[in-house]
Amino acid sequence: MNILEIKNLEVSVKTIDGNVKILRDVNLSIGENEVVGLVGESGCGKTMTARSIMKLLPENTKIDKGEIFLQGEDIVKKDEREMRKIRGGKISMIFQEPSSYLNPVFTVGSQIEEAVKGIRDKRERRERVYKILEEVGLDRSIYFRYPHQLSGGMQQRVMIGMALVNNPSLLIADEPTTALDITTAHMIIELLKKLMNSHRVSILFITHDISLSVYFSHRIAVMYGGKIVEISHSSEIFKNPLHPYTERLIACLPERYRKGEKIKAIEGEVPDFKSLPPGCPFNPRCPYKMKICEEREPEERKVGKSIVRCFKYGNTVEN
Amino acid sequence: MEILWKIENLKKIYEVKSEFTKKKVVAIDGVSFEIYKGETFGIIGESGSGKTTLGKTIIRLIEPTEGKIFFRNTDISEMKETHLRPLRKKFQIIFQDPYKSLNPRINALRTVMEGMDEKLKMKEKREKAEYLLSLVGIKKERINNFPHQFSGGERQRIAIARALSTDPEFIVCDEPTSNLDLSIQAQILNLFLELREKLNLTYLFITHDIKVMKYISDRVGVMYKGKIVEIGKTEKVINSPSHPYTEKLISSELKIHQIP
Repeated sequence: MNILEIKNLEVSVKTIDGNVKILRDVNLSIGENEVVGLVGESGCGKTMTARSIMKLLPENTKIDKGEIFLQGEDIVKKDEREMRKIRGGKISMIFQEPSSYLNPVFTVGSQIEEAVKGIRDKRERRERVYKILEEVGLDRSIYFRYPHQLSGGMQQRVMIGMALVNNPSLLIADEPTTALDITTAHMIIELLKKLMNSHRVSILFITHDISLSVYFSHRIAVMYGGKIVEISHSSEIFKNPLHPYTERLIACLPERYRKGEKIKAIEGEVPDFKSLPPGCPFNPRCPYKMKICEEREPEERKVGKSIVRCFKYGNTVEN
Repeated sequence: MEILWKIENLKKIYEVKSEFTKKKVVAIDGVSFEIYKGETFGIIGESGSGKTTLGKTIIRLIEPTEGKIFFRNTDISEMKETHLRPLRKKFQIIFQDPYKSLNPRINALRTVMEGMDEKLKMKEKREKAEYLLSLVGIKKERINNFPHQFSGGERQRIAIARALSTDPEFIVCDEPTSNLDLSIQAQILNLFLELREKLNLTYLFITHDIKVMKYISDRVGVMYKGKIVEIGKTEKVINSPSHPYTEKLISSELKIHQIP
């Protein structure tokens, strides 16, 4: 059974200019012990998808439609009291900037311990924290340190420990290595790989870095304008990108060019949710634009093992 | 090749004083290198290695503690500000965060006009600013807009136009694409190369991204704890690194970012 299954998710935010849809018809599933990369540029809806799963949406933002099944249970219907048990229990999350999620006035150990308050015995509780510290590659003495005494990489390890101490079935990692140096980022990714197997946890890996995502994920979902435009296996995506956006995004990677060769950049900018074009959101920047692209939004269709939303692959849904 | 910059044993030491202690922090620890005219010299290193301090010290935005800086054979390391002033036009800097480096109360056109030669007439300044903005790809109908009305990529374009407003020969580019999305980074990198050809510029390109450095730099210096531990042609440094730190940096990069 899939750990997570998102179906037709729609999220909108209330602004002074009326309701603006920020997620439209998002479908995504994550299997057991699977890493799914969610890739896209800033403002495409990656973080909003994550926050919908946690039901930690900002004020004025709400889920209009759709279902989010976590191990078969629809969490959209759950109230705040039930959600509190799920967060940190079945789902947990790590973030880009660990220093802003750690409390500067408590030792990191006591902050991890807070997550296992359910254990009555104090000694047992402490042991549990020591164990997870060791698992994330830190010494037990780190328990008594304050966040400012740790480097960025160590802080991220503490966050990972905090997230995994209750053995969740899903970990949402929102750009966990973006703020780190490359050598540290590499170590954190290796750590996540190791823990993923020992804790049997599935990971939703959110990043703007498509080549990092290829390295770490099994499947990759590419987002643009609040929609998932393509889901493909990570071994396929560089070889055979289906959606024009994926294709053009990969063509923007500087490492694909010789020195000084002109990069085939995508013209224009990522659209604002308030001014999304009619039809396919990518149509103003798309080199393969057809008439239909401005008239209708493409539905999902299967191409091989992948799923793509593009009229290039026919304009009727085939199953 | 003509040498534009010659840096000899440059040091920058900060004294950090607290109530009871006095500590010395060595930000740049005896760095020597040359930059040739027309090339892009890359500085790569992790955060805290002294990349930005080095970039700013060379153009005397930070005063060096020790060492010599030659710009076209003139030693500027101890030159008085009054003498340095006219030279300053020749070197410019572009910062990482275009949200912080532009004044929110000045529109794009004025931002570019501000630093221009005072001898120019108002009309000439305006024409030149309009030309520079069109050169970096800002549409004419938007030149009177304020920074908050532009996206991150457009702001960086305005910052580039501002840097060009004094007709510089040399630009320090301090992580100019690190805050930008991939598709915008590609546009800006293209712009840097285009401008280098058109205006005969020399860049000092500071970055932590090996892929970007490989694409844009002709030669590169690898910084680690205030020292340049390796210097050479970009391809050579990447394909056969000689310092263990460079090797570690590049192997991490190659492992997690497989080159498609």
